[in-house]
Amino acid sequence: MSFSRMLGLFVSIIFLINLLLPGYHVSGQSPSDLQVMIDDAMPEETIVIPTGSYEGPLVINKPLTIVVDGDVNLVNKSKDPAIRITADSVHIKGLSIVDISAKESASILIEADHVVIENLNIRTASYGIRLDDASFNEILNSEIVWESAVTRDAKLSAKRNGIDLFESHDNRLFGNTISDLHDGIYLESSDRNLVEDNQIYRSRYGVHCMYTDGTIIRNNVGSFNITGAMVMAVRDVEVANNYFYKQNESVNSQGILLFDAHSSHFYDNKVEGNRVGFYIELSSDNMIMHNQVKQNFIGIQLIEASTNHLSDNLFSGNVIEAEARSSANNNVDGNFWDSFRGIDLNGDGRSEITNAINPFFQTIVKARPAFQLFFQSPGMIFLQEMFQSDRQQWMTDHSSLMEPPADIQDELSSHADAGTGIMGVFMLMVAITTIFYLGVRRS
Amino acid sequence: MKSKYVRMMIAFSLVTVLLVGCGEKKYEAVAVNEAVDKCDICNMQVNDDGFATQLITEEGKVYKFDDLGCMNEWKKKNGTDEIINEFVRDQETREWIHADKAYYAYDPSFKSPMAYGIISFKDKQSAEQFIGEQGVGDLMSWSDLSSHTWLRNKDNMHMPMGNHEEKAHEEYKALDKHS
Repeated sequence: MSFSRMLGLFVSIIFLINLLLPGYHVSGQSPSDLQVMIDDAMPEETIVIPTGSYEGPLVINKPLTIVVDGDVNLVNKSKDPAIRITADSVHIKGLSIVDISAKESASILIEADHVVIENLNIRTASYGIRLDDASFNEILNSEIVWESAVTRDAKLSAKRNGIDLFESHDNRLFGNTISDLHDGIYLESSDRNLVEDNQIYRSRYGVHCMYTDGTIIRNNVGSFNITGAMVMAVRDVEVANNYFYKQNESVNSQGILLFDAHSSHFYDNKVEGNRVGFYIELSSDNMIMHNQVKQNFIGIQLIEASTNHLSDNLFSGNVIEAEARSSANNNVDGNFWDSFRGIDLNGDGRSEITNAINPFFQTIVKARPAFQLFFQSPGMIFLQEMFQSDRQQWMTDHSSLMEPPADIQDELSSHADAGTGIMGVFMLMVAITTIFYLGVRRS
Repeated sequence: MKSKYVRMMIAFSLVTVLLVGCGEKKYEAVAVNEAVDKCDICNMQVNDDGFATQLITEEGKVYKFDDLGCMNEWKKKNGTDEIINEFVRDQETREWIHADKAYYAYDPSFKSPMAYGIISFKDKQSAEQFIGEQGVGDLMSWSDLSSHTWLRNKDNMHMPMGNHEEKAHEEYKALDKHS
């Protein structure tokens, strides 16, 4: 009898037991059942796990494809990872993992290359998925949430990251949903990773890069995090077409933060309703173009940033559009600032009056943080207007756009149209009918 | 006569108030509040964990940092003349200790919030024990740290990074002059 046939028999026996004893699998099969299946399988074989609840931890040390038939729950109470993958080319699909002990090891630990993790549902009290010295892996369409049953009121610092990469390169993280964790996706010393179409909610930082080169962060959505994207100590990173909204619960929150970021591209992002839309410090040679910065408390804030290029951005409905300190040497030309009243003399769509950002308040607050209380107070505004020295050292938009960039304008107007219009007409009809039938009382 | 008395009283109470004010100034470590504290250098949230550090200036201003490396950056930027106290935390008990009395374990592979890889301990013994458990790491005292390179994890792998940056700056400046 060949090995695979034996395995087939084994699987069908388990399946039969499941059918015959419906209560059996609920209490959990013996811990090693799944591990035995894995150990018995030939490399590159496909294992189909029947419906049921199983116990971890598991170690996968050969290339295998693991799929499920029905609902498969893997419950791990140990201090080890629920699944530890040490062999290349492992493919796991469709499992639900409940990892209930708070610990340093991850729920899924990948120490191999070319692994694919797909459609997993992970409830973790630790790291969701951790890649350690692991490259060319794919983590797709999985959901990672904090296991709140055990550690409901955990402090942020007691939580761990959703997907955590360390010295792992060329991986693809696509279509994952992560919530209530420390950092949603954390990349440290990891290069050329693609972070695409993920959604991150109520965590500390949505996407957090530290010491990475060539990361691409694209089409992600984040809200109610402290910061949407924290881009720190990086170069050649691309942050494009992300939507970060309502990062406003913490006093230090922002949509996108750049610190020590260089030669990177930030374009087509939407940052909306955050405390600070874009925060840029000690960063240089970045291209920040065609972003929509809307309804934030502060639109954009530059601190000791130099030689960055900002153009074609839309700043609209922010309480304060921009603040800058020690950031003279940036090329900030041709943005649309909706609170700025420019004058276009030669009809090229750009203002001939320059829009200079007064650093007065930022400088004062730096020295005396308590003066933040005077934010936008009439006295402070008066002092700010008195303070005009060194004006050429201020961050200045020399050619502000008179209207939003054309394509952004189209998008904005098409948004407002249908729903609002119908609602308006409806309300008008109601008003007319009311007046018509009830009349107007004459005194 | 009366006015003299009043004047004296005012002067006296003023001096008292001033003295009391002076006496109030304490340079002790303050607790970390994760909801509001951010690192004064890197802007990251200061976690209430063993990596948090703080320094207190003559004025009584407290600066908190998420990593000992960031506190070092602050000192490079602002000088050390006004600093009265520097505190780090014992990795295990989380109690605040004077930085110059602590012992440190360093290895590039140790994880810390800004990847400086330095972990602080209240005594030599616990630092040595930690290094023993990890199998790697150098034991350092506060004075050893003054000659430390403060390399961050990634810097070890990409040494030329700093040079490249300066070069880019110069190129940009050259362009700027042209235009």
